[in-house]
Amino acid sequence: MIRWQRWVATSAAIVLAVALSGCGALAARTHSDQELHVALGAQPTTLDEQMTTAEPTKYVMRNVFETLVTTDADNKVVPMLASAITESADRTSYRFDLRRGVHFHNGAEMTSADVVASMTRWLKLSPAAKSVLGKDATFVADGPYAVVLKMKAPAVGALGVMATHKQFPAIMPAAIAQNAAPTGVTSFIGTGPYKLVEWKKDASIHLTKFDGYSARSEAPSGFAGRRDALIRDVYFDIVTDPSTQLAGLQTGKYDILASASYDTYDWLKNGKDFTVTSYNDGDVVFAFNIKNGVFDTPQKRQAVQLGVNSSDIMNVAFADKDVYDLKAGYMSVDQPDWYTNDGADTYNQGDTARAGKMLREAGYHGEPVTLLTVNDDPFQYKSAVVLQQQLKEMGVNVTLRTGDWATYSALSLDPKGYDITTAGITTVSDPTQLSYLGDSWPVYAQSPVVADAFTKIQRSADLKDARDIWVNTQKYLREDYVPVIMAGEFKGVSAANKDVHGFTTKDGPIIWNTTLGDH
Amino acid sequence: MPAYILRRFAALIPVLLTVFTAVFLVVHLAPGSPASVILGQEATPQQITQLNSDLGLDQPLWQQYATWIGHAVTGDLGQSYFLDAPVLSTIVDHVPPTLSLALIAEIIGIGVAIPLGIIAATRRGSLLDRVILNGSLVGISVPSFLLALFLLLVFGVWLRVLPVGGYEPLSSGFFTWLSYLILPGIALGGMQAALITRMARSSVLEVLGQEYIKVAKAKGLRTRVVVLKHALRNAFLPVLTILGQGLGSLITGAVVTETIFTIPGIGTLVVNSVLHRDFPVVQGTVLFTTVIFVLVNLIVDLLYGVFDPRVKLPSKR
Amino acid sequence: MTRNVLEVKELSTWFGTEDGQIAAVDRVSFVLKQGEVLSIVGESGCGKSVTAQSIMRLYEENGSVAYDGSILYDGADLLDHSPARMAKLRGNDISMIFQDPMSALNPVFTIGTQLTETIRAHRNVSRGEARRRAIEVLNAVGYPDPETGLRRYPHELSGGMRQRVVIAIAIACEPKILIADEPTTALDVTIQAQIVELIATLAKDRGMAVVFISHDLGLLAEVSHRVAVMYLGQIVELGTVAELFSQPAHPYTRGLMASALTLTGPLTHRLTTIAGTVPAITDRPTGCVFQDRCAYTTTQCRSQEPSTTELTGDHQVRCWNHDQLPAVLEGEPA
Repeated sequence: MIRWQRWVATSAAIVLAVALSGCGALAARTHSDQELHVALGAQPTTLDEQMTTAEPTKYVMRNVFETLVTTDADNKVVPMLASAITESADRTSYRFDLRRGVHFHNGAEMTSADVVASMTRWLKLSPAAKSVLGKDATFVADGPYAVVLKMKAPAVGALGVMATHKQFPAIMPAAIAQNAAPTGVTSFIGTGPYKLVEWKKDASIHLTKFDGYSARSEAPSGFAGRRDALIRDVYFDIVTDPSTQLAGLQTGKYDILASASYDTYDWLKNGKDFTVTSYNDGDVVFAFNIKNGVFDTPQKRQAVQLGVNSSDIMNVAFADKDVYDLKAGYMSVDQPDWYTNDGADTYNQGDTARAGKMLREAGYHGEPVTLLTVNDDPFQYKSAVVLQQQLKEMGVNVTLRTGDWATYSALSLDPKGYDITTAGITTVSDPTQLSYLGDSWPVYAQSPVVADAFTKIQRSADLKDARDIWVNTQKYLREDYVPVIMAGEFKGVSAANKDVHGFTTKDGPIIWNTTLGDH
Repeated sequence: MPAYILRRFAALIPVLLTVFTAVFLVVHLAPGSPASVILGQEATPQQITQLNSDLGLDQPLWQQYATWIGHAVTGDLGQSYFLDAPVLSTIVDHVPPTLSLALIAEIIGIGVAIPLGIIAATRRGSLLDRVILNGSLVGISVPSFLLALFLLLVFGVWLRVLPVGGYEPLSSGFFTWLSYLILPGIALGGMQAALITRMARSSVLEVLGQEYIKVAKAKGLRTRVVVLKHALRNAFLPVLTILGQGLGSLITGAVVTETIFTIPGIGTLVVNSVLHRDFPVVQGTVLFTTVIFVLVNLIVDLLYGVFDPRVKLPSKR
Repeated sequence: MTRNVLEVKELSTWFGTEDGQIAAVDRVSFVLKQGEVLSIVGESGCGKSVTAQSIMRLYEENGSVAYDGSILYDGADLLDHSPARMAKLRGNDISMIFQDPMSALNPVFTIGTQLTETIRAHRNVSRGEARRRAIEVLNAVGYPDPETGLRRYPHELSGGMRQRVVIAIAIACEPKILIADEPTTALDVTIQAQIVELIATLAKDRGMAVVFISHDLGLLAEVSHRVAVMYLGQIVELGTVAELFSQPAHPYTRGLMASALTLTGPLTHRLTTIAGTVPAITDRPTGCVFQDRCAYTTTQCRSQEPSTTELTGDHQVRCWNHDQLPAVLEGEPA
């Protein structure tokens, strides 16, 4: 008896000692410094970037594909695969001279044929492109190293939408773009510093350095400038559980968490072993079903807006003030060209008593209201729960309806699917791309004032004029039409181990120019 | 015997058909379509409708059903909407991790649980017996995800002795393969093991009270022989049932463990394909897991015939 | 003078219960002579099985079972032996057969396996040799076609055949002592006689001493040399068959004899019973154990346990009033 008791005690002591010694140590990387492991919280649904706005796809494929133009750290549009951009006098067409000697991953040189095919396909697939450039826009080759965009009317946001970070116009070989099936391309050949090696389903996506890459010469800034693949192999590992992500980061299995869970932000921030960077992600809004929902008049919607306490909502959804901003404007706070906080006196009032009174005066008499959200996005779900509470205090007879992504999509397409829905709207390059202000969704009901304003905005002579129109439009939207209620803007968070250097983020993690090691 | 086995396989078909039809209906009738998941939250309704049509999802339900069954009997399970690969090869790719995991979990279950159960039974009433009983109660009560996270934290993060999730195939080396499976195996097999321990204990206790055990002792056989040969062989039978059931559910339902330990197995495949409305994969996986279940049941029944001579299987003389 | 193969002296077997330690066997003493058949008779619960299993030390000795006294065999006290030494004796020197042959045989092993494992546990022989001996002993117990029998499972045999197998297993290693604990109780009447005769024959042929436990007086009269009568854990009378059947001394024995039916002659009287039932072993009274059912209890009976009186060489009785009982007790035939 005594013998085994002593054995247990000794083992416990050893275990404890090892544990304590291990606790303080820096994460010991489990792989060489020529291998980078990035933890992705969700598996991409497709690798065809032109087809989808989904973030996991974007995070991975932005290293594989490049675009004609892109944005720098100040959100200015600069050339990427283009060498020069010329705007026509009437601003209805743009000429893009292409850089020479840029090669695809299959060795072939990029020519205007490839660009034309890629841009044409993108125009077909991207609602934002169609809305800004007009669906009759065309891309035409002018010799092997120049492409011309011809539009029916000027569009001040044309270059901006072509430089977008989500569902971006990935340049691929003409044959692939032209022969793509409706379900998407099946080979992923780009011009980026990394090329796709393998997608091991439900496990990881493996990229490797493209030795034939042609880099720009300017210093890196945002997405622009020189991109170097400084680490040979990059693995985007799919890890859906936040605890496992953290455990992997701590033990050096993962070098970077692409988007850490908000629950872990505080812990990561306060720990000394990690670098935490945040990046613009998007807005949390509550969109009304204007066409078929209960809140069919502006008065009712204004009433609800009056009763919403956005700061409570954002606080519950994101926990730490570092990762969100309370703002009234519909564009991102980091977009000086478009952002305005005008109309802030209608924002974050939280006056549920007056709101309730106003609702009744506007003709709401307790009809049942469906608030739709998706439970796969914790922050959407949490904001919905708080909003539900606030609506109840306004005297609204509200039921919460939730489902997974697929269910949510189906219900949002249903004309009677909801009266209010949560939405996470990723940052866009100009206000005409804000989906909830457009007519692409059956229930949004675009205001004619807005439709008119959007046309004027695109036709504006320059960004200053466009902005003025937008400021007035936003005022109208906030005080009168109220198509959505703005909760606030949120950031995504990346965490990296201390031996990761040169890691930057912009609308997500940027992998090129990153290195590993103690230097 | 071969006739018996053939008949059991024939009985598989109505089972498959029923299960498959039920799942097909549920998955297709639930709201949501693969197109919206592929295209993302900001796609337009037109785009979604168009893509669904391209995927053949606007055909009447019975037609989609018939087409899929028609292909399935020829071995063509279709193409996954998301994973850009044939369904069959996708399933086959996801099987080894789950199978390995289930195997390790079952071995841990058997290797740990049965001896513990025997020890508890032969030392009934002692401190050791009570420790084992209470320990197994804890094992049954602790949710597997909690156990998984706990194991991950202690052995993966604090002690750094085992990897924090992931999977390496057997081709990477036996010990490497094993090291990735120990923690999830314990997490997954923990509850099973606890159940088996209790079952083994009560089964052995019951057998030990039988007359033939006394006779075996009266014959002058040593205790070890009495317990391991005479008692165990009889006590094993009820345990076999639990093992069979357990293996079936291990293979099909290790989702939580697979998620926490990032093992790309069948459980992950099923859940993801349901969430994505990847219909061909859902259908294919259901077919596959049903076959597995029935197969495991058949094997257990056959094993009963092997272990217990009183069980007369048909066509056995 | 035949020597004693077994000497049981003041054997007590204690069991731990919720009410404390109980002696199921209370200071029992007897000897077993070489080649003889000693029967132990008594009602259910009198301790005869416990005595038998105590000799073999079959109970799990994990704290709730304790023994007092001594069991001398082959110059040593069985109660002092180590478990390993006891295991060597069981099946080899002292064997036991039990009441229900169906439950005595392990259902998942063949007859052959169960026989040969006994043989190979005690003899260093090859599998083939063990098989040969198994066939031999099956023949000895009258099992037809032993070759096929080896491959059979217990559930394929009839009750009588199973019991033969059980006996075969018991005698396979030629023990000196065979304890038969109610070997025929679970069998048909027609088979009973066969089995009893088989046991008697085997005993005689092999020079085996037999302890034959039964509650069936008629049966044991056929084969026994001596008989011990047990009541509530004690031996109340012990003697040769002749002595006990012709001159039973203890009131309990006389009651037993009277209540046995005889097939010779007409039924001259009603069925006799012994009044009352055996009390629970926890309620063992002070003084004579039989006091509550005896029609002749005196004050001495209630306060003092009767000492053993030797009537003749072999005949003993424990009763204060054995010589003061009427010649014909109630119920006895005149």
